[in-house]
Amino acid sequence: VTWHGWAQIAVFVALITAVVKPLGGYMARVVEGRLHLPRPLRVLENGIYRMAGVDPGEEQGWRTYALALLSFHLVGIVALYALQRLQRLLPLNPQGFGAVRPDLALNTAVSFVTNTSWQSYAGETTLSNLSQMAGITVQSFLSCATGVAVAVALIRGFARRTAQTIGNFWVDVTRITLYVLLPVSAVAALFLVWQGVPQTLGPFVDATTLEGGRQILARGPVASQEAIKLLSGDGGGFFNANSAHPFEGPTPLSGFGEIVLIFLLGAALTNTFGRMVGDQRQGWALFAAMAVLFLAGLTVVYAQEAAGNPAFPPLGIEQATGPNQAGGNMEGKEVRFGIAQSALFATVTTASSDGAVDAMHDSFMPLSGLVLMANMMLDEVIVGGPGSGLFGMLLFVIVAVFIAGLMIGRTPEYLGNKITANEVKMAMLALLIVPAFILGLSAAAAILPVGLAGLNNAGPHGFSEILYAYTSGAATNGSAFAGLNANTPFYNLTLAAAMFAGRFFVIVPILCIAGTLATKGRLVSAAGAMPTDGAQFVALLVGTIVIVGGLTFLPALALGPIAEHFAMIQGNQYGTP
Amino acid sequence: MLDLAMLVLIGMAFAAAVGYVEFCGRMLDPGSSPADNVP
Repeated sequence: VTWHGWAQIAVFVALITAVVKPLGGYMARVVEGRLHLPRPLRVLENGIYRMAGVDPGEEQGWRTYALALLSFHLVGIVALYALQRLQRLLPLNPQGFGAVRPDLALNTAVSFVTNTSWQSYAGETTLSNLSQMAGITVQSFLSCATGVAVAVALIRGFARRTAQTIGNFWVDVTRITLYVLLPVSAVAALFLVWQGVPQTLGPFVDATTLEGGRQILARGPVASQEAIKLLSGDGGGFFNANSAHPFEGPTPLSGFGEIVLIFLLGAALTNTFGRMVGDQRQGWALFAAMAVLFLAGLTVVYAQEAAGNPAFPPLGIEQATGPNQAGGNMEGKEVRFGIAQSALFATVTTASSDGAVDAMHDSFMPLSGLVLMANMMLDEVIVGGPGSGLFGMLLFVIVAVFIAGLMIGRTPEYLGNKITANEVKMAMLALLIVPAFILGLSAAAAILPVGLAGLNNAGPHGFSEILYAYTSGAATNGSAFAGLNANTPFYNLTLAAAMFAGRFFVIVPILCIAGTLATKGRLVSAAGAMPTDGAQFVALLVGTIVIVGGLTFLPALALGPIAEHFAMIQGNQYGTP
Repeated sequence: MLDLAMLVLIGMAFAAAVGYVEFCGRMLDPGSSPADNVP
């Protein structure tokens, strides 16, 4: 590790922390309808409601909110599927790409509507500009807005007293898209264009290289997709190599800016939460728990990657840091990003639900791979995706106060709400669905010939590739370990099932919790109630997250990255299957 | 034909999700709120 590597990480943490309060406050005003808007924006917002036949003053109970959300995304999946299947007949297809295969089109449609952005395809050789813009990019906005809307509905559940409603889904999605996602994305896209990311509807460029060879340079409306790809927690790249591609992440500064964008909304939402429940310290407590888990994981990844691969020195490969090289394990990493930024990007993208990559996670050291998988397995509560990180964290809060209540013999309570069997049952439903799909489908793929056929590595690393894929899908992350050929009907359909369940079968119980909490009156806390805004609660919350996540996934991790780590120390290699 | 199969899969997934909304609603103990917030 180097001092400038740590300095880069320190600047990142300071920047995110500084942005939490102002952006969190702004988002609270947006979702509470307290924003003073210029007349054209008010006209635009009201015009959308009129066209959609929505009464913005009418609030919804949790069931209506959930059904509105599901119907919205049913239309989204069918539309994105149709767009891919019909793209050869539609305009803005300068390369003349044909229809996307049905199983791949289904996987991609589910992937982007669920805010996962798992990509079994290579964007630059599969999708037309229209499919990228009207399909992928639009769903990045809408799926992100949905995540924030669900988090806001849950916050309202905690904040409201004896209410029957938790907001209006259509209003929440519209306001978040118009006043948060669009303006920040526009600024981010301009920043990326300044850094060298292309933004054009023109065809690919047929270039002559310095050696006189011929090369086709893929390009398109990259900057606009890139901005929301990062901000939304979606992560689906225009190019197959994602942010490692020089047209997606051209400079170290653009790489750093991309990492900031990934954490921006998720971190700020902790403050939105604090403001809406009337106590900002509650939001800071959640932010502190996220920070502890994030810094612990990042330290492991950075140290592992900086130390390099013990198999290399005997081969005469120099891994020391020097004036001419970054040092450490540079396999699968871009020289312009180096070890520190690659480790930071990888930790951020898996801690959030983004899934963009600027380095190949398959080439990370085994224990780094373990941390990246663990980040996703912990339900992506370490900041997480916009909204999904916060509502995931609040699920663990419910479990933590329930456990604390059992330990000290008091009725569990949080923010003046008594936590009853209803909330705990729903929290467990939401928390168990993701591991059920990850472990069940990983086990199936590890024994079925159709699953094993996709592997490029034998032994523990091959198992890690399978485990990572289903973890990424069910946790709606979307990053790939690479090395696994997932563009087969088996993986496309099973991963689509994992993504669908990991998103909607988690959101429904969360909205149910919001509905039950909103109906409650305020509980008058008696003396001796555990404060939930201090270090003790943060420690309890972190412990709950680690123990629940650790106990659930430790056996699977032992078969994958942990076994690979010890095999590496012993000098064992498994080769290809 | 494959398109029809994929659309049927999408329909089944959303039908399951709508059923899940109903399932969660039935899992709730109707007598537990709002009065249970009395200390």
